Amino acid sequence: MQGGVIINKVGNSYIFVFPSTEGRITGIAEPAGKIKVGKTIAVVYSLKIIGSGRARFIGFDATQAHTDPKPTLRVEEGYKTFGFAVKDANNPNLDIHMDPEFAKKVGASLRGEKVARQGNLYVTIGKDKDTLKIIRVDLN
Amino acid sequence: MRILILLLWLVFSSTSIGADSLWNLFKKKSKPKVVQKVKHRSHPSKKRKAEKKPKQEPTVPEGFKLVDAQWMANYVELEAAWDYYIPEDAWIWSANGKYLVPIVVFKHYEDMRNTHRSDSATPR
Repeated sequence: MQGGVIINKVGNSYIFVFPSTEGRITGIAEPAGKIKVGKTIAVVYSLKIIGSGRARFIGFDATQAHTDPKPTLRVEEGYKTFGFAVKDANNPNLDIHMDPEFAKKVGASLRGEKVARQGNLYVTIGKDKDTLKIIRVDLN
Repeated sequence: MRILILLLWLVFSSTSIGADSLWNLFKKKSKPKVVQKVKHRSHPSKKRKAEKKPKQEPTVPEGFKLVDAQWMANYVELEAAWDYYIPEDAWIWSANGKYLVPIVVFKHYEDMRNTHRSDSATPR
């Protein structure tokens, strides 16, 4: 557990769990931070956990990459609740922003979609020569 | 004069720009023949290759259950809340965004979820 986030590893997949505020284990109501995977992939999050007893999560699956991605979490202070922002330095067209206002703030064009703040993120990672690449992003 | 007419007739009849070509100008234009292209049927095996394969569900071995990432997140949260980890956790496998969990792990999840925690117990 790091900064109120439970980190679980199963094989080559990682899951970052943000506990609900009304669950058995109480989490932070508005967690925010950055998860870096490899040298090029980063997921920035700033969430609002509404106490419904259900945990929210960000998952990374690198079973197709046949490598251990070893993501690093940095817990930061969120200035605004926006959701997720997925970035890949190798593929700038894949930038996904979940909130149009956030995209405006960071000066990026909106290529993603707006989703409910209660959503979860699951990123499937593959291998591209020496670096990792995003194959698929699921929101539910 | 007659000789001249005869000579002219001979010239016209010998060349292609004779009566026939003049006659062709007044003839109805026939429609150009449409050559139908023969469609080559692709080999069934090739057609099959082009079709997108649906996302395959991993085969569930005996004694295992297939769960989604939300279930896994809840399980991880419950284990952290109870601080109760079991050795069978090592047998959890991830496949295509889903997880294969042993039945023992599944039962462990059900037990933790259904057990009411007393207020005296402090979450860790």
